[in-house]
Amino acid sequence: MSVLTTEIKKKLEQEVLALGGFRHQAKEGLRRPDLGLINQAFPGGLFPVGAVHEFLPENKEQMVASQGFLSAVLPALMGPDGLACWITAKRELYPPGLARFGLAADKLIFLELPRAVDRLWALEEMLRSTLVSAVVAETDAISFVQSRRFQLAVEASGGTGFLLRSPSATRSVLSTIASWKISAIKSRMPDGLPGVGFPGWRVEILKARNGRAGVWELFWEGNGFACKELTESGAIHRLKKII
Amino acid sequence: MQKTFVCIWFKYFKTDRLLIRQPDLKDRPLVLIRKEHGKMLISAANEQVLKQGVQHNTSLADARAIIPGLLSFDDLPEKATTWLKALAVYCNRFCPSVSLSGTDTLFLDVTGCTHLWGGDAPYLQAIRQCFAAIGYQLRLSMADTMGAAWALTRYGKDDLIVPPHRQMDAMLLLPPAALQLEAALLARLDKLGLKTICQLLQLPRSALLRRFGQVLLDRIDACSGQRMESWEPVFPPVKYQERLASLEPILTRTGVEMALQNLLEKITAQLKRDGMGIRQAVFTGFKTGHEPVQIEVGTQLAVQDPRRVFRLFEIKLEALSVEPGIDSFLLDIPRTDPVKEKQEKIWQGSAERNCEELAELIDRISNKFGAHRISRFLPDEHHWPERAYQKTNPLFGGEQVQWPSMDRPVVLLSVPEEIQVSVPVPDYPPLLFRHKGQVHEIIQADGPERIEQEWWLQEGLSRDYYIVEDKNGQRYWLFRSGNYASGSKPSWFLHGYFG
Amino acid sequence: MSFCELQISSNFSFLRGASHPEEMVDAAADLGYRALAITDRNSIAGIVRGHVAAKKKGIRMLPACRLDLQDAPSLLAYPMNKPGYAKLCTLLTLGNLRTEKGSCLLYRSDLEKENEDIQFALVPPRQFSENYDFAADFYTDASYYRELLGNRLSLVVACGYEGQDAKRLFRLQTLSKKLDMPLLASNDVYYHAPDRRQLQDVLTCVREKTTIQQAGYLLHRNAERHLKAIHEMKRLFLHYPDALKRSLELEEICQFSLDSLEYVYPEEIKSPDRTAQEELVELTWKGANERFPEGIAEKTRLSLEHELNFVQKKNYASYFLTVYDIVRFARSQNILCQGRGSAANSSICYCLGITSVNPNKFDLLFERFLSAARDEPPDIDVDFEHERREEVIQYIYNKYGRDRAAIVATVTELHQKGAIRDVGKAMGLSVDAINRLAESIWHFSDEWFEGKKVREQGMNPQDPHLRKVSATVGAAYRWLCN
Repeated sequence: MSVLTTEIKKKLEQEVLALGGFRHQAKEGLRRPDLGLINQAFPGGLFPVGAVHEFLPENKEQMVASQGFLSAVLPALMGPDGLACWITAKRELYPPGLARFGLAADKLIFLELPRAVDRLWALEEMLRSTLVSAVVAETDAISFVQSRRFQLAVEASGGTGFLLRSPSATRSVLSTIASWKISAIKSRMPDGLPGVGFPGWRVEILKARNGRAGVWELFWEGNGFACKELTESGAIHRLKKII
Repeated sequence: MQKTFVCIWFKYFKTDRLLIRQPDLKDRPLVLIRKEHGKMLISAANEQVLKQGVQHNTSLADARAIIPGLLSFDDLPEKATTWLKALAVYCNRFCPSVSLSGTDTLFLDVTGCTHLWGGDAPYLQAIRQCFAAIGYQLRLSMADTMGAAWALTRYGKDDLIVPPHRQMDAMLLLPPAALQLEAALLARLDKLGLKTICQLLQLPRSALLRRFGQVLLDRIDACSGQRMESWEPVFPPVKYQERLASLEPILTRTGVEMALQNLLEKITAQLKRDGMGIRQAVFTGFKTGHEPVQIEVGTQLAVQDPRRVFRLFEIKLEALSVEPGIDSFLLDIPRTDPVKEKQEKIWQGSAERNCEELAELIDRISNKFGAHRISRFLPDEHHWPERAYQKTNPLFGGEQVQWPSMDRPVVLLSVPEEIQVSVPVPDYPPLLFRHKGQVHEIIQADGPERIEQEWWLQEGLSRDYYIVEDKNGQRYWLFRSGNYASGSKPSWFLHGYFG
Repeated sequence: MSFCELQISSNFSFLRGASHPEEMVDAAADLGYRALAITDRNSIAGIVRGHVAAKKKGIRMLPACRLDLQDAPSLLAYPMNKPGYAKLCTLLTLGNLRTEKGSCLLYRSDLEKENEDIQFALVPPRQFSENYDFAADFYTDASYYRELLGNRLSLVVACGYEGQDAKRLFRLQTLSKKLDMPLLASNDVYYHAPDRRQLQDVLTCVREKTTIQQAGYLLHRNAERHLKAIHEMKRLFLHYPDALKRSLELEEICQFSLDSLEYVYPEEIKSPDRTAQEELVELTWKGANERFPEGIAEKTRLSLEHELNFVQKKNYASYFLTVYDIVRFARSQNILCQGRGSAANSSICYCLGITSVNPNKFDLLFERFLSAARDEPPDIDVDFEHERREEVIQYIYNKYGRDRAAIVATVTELHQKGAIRDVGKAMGLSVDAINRLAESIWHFSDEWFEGKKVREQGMNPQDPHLRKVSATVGAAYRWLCN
């Protein structure tokens, strides 16, 4: 029996992923965010791009937490020349406030569309476009079929979609690569400084296709993430800083 | 260039107009009256009345004597031009340039247009049908000059189409009044026994000049085409415009799409020759007897590709109502821009191709929802938070942009929401705040960041901002408006949420 | 007394500070301060006025300045004694001579050569990184300074109300403990009262050659940079009482006062074996004999003795000798020169040939020139022939050397129209509007401020922006004319 070297293992993984329709996941050289330990939730330890993620906030604060989290994730998807699109019913995102997460607001196109059906139309257009690296959209009710369409769109274009599902809308099951729930946790203050520190989130992956669910604590430390996993046993892994 | 004009004489303009609004008066004798020197005079009368011998400018009393059941209505002479202009708008589907004459006549410059309808006769038919459907009776004629066309509507056969250069022939048997001469001159001519234009033309020009003046010669020359007639169009000229007419009204969306494609191909061909591209296009479908339908699109960059523009129209075509059938189409290009050799780069480092693609993407969105729904922002150097950014063009603007790294929230409420706080004076962070019934106990806080008004822009109270974190880790941006000074009770607000 | 403010930028920090030293002193006195220090950038031009104003108010002003270096962070400098003051002046002169008028270039190497007898305070940078910390460079520089200046170094802390005060103070406290150097509390003052902030903004625009609409983040976001009440400073530094105390410690250590300065006359003006007075007496009688060949009248003799006694008591002999030397040179070169003004009342001056009028002949009173009641050194004005005055200047430079002689310049007062132009530009008015505004004044009268003259130029004095400009110009003018 031949030894299963890491190389062979990797190649097998890629082939398996390709069979499962994850061509993009397996591709080398794609820009993707590095969320440290959270990456382990996904097949191959790679944050899924060319796919659609959904976020399930339960209230305004969780919605904002998701928005903050995404602001920190988007730059990694966009790269220095890329552009992203943010679709909301009412524009409340504050462009100067995105810089602290490394997101340059001038690289964003904001769409303000009060009608849910319009947002879905725009979302699909944006997901289809090869020019847009990432799209974030506030959605109300979506059907499974619609989510399938989104999935197909990004598989072709290579963009990544993020659905911020409204807390008040009925939530049907969708075809997404992962379901997230983000809420704020106490900030982390380095060196015992007074006041409010580095923003922190409780990041819960409720489901991940071909991956595993889990709960982590994630902090944004000025210019990068730091992450620790909260396992069921209660043991907390060491905080690992990600550049 | 040889021109062709159509003259439309709304013979019973005012009474037709009245009838359209009061159809139940259809078979009654009608007049419109005006007051002049204390007497009521007839300004307009319908066919029935005129046939019974009542003329314009007869007094109402006299008219009543002839037709006892006469119905009279007040005329609004100052409105005449407005009403006529409204009808001129209808003619836009037939030709690019329309001019008014008097209070009941329109001239259409139909040079090069009639072939679209399949010929001069079908063209006139289409015009007649268009107005008949609304309720106007017309007398139409087509000739090389306005003078001739006018003359023929008044004194010639109806629907007369005069072949090119033959207008004087057509006018030979018309009376001198057809030359739009003044009453005094007409009386003189009549006295001299000159009862047809033919007779006038037989006299030498010098004699005509000597005996009747320059005006007569001018009028004759205008009709013959020797003298230029002045043209004052009702609508400003549009450089790029194309029309399409259909013999049968078009009832399907496919038909409309084909018409649009056809027009786009024609116009973009012209634009390409001129090195211009479309920035704004208006597509109108005219229906007989109904309001026209219209779609408008705009683009970020000058576009020459007809398919790209078609795709923008396509978004809205679905909503177009085709019933009960569209007879003719008009494509207008009100706004163009020169097409640059090399497209400007959007932002930094993007490829040329991306610029066009992105422009197309933005065009699709802005045409569907309106350009105001798309925003892109650049930083603006102001300490006052609401002013720290500015709107910019979605495609261009902002090389080397630097957003200052400041502690600012991810979400800013457009209107700060009032809260109640428990706070040690004078300017320490609050211990707790209540917002929409919820109490938040504050565990950590930063601040105050005191921001004064930008005094050259606005007067008012300063704001002390605090970044606060409650026991759930939720982070908010609060401010106090003004200070606790000698008994004042300043208000507190929630302005934003940190991610 | 629990605090004194030791970091103040006056208007002698050109186009940065918005209040005069006198205004700072008055405000400080009103707030109950017993001492303060004005630390202008690379300049001690303002400290004399401040010192005089402080004396009048009965409070103490420490001579000090802020050293802005090209290759290291800025330091506040407080001379401890006269040698320290001399060293500070040397440093500033060195920096000034290196470059054109108005600039001063100083390097850390200069400080390495000369820094004794001075107390320093390190000014931390304004920027704070995303990690809530200062740039690494700052910490390196702080260590360097600590090494160089030993325990004559404090660390300045100020509460700017820019949102991160608590974190900044914490970081600086940590640094202070790590390097074992004390914190010094201050409010980093730029104006004496908060309503001066508008003028300060305008000055920033003039300095940076921009307009108020474009200046953006160059302007301060609030008006906190004023002299604050002592109890307010105590409140702001509640957790750092040592920082407040340090200001008192420095005040105690730095006891140098400008009062202790007296002019040291050059040695070259007299023979080495005689005192200045002896020299003066000899020269005077010699000159008297020349002036009165028929003999010195009794009245004149009495005058001369009286004057010489007085001069001896007051120790002014050197001054006369200095002037005499220059006049003698000029006459030897046949350069026309003449003493004038109150010097004409002095018989000594007449005998030395400085003046040409015999005071006794005209009953001129010596007391008009010098008197015990006026405790000021003499003031002898001498006019030299204009075309040849350069020769006299060269003589002085050659005799004493360029490092001991200087031409005193006065800080010119901005002309009214110049003030309007600068303010108008800073407020973003068009060139046309500025010209019209400038033309509309003969002088700053009430009429002008009421807008009558402005209206004559076709501008609407009710326009809110224009009113702002008028108010600011008025404030600027009144301020500049002080």
